[in-house]
Amino acid sequence: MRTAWAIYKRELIGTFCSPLAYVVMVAFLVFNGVVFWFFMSMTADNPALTGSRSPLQMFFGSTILSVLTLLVFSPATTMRTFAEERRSRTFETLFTAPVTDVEVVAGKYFGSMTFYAALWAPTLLYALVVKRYGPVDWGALASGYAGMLLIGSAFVALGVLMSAIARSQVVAYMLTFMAIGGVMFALGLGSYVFQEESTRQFFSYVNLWEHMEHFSVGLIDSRALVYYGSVSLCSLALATRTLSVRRES
Amino acid sequence: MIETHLLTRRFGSRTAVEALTFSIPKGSIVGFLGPNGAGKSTTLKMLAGFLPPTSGTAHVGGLDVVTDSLAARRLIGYMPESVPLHPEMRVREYLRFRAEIKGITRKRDAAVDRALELADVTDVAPRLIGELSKGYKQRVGLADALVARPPLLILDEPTEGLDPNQILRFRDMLKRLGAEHTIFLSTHIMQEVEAVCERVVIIHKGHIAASGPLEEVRAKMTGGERDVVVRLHPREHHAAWKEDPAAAAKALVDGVEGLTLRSATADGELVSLVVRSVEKGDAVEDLVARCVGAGLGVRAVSPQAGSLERVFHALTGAEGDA
Repeated sequence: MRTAWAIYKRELIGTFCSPLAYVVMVAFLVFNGVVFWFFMSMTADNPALTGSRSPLQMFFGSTILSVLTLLVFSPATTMRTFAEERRSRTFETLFTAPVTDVEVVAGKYFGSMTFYAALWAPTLLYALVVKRYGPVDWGALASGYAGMLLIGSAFVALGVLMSAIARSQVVAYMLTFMAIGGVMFALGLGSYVFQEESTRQFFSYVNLWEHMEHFSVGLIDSRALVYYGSVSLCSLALATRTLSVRRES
Repeated sequence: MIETHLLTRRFGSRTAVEALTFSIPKGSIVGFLGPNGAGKSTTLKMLAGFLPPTSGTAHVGGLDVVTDSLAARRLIGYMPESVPLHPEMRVREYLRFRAEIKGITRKRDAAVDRALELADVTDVAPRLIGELSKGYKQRVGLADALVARPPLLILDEPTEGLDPNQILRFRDMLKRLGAEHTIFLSTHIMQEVEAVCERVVIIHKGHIAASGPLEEVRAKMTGGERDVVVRLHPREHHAAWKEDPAAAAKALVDGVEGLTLRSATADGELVSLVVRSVEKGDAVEDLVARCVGAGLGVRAVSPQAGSLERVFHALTGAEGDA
């Protein structure tokens, strides 16, 4: 694990020494700043429309805006992991050192998770803004962040897998975008499409929109934990396998 | 230190190297010579544990590079072609990272300092890798290969792209390192092998063309003969030598056993003879004694340069120029 720790630290240097990280962070904050302003003014202007929901609950809840945030920004946290090493050929020096594929994948994954968490960290200030005008449900807020980290964990793991497959950062981004958009979102929509109870329940179990709604009101469902945990682990296992296969061809 | 048996690597239908069998003893500097595209880098990548072979085996320090990959990789300091590095890191920071992933847990700073010193990059330790010149980057790559004190160094075209001064400096460094490490270095430059290596493995179109101690390979390919250049000063016999150097030289060399005259050319005051002698024996000494006896001055006796180059050309044909 010492090796994974070394790779994790290098990953952070690689990420935060690149201007791209700051471009992504600024874009993320601008986008979410607008989203949050929108929810704030909506609750202020039309209390009837938003019902009992606070702006923070809407921020973490299942709106198209929060879904867009995840879809657009999480692939950016992982696209460079392996694609960049392959482009600069440091892939070769990395894997001729006595490291295992698992250690490398673990280091890269936690590095990307740290970047993902760093994207969200400044949004904590939003809670302080809300607190000036009314009460904040801290429990629901904590669960909202836990949910974002949990969903993010699955998306980041998928992104690490796609970066291991792709030859360039751009391709890695596109593949991750398609994997998240095409599979994770579309799958959940099944729960609105199918009428039969068992099928509907299955799709509801993997429905991202429903999960986000639960997290935003302070409900952490163990089924969601298992689902996102499994997606993360499977993706990382596949990434490990991809690395050894890619070297054989 | 290295043993390969029928080592083969294919990429799809293309065979990069086929049935390579060679061995490299511990404690030697070995040149891996071949024209571009002969399969040198592919072979080195397999030895370094990066590419798995399609068939055959390779052992490093008695460990199989596929089944015992992790342990084998611990014995190797590998420097890939064109030395990929992380430009956003500082030299010391990079070497600390490399030392850490190579499992150096204690006295890491001392190991990094030693590698910096051996590779002669201490003066750029606090600088960003991306800002360094090519020569420095090459040496940072060498420092990385050295940092865990591996018994075997595998260097892929280590002097490629350096200027002549840097090349000489790099070769001196390799000779010093040869005292402590077994070094296997690839190159397509013959002089490099002649300058630093004791042994040579020559590869052509994915096959071994020759391997063994440098002298042996050279002797084998030239039929146990070598060419020697003798520079003479004719002194009082000046007129005779100037008029017909070939005849004068023939008269001189003819009586010496084991020696044949290849050419004789006058250049200014001196005359250069190229004679072919058997590898062993003292025919050349006899010739020198004869010259001195005949009142001729002997200014220089030297092996003809590039004799390995001729071996290389003989083995790899005209494509060796590519």
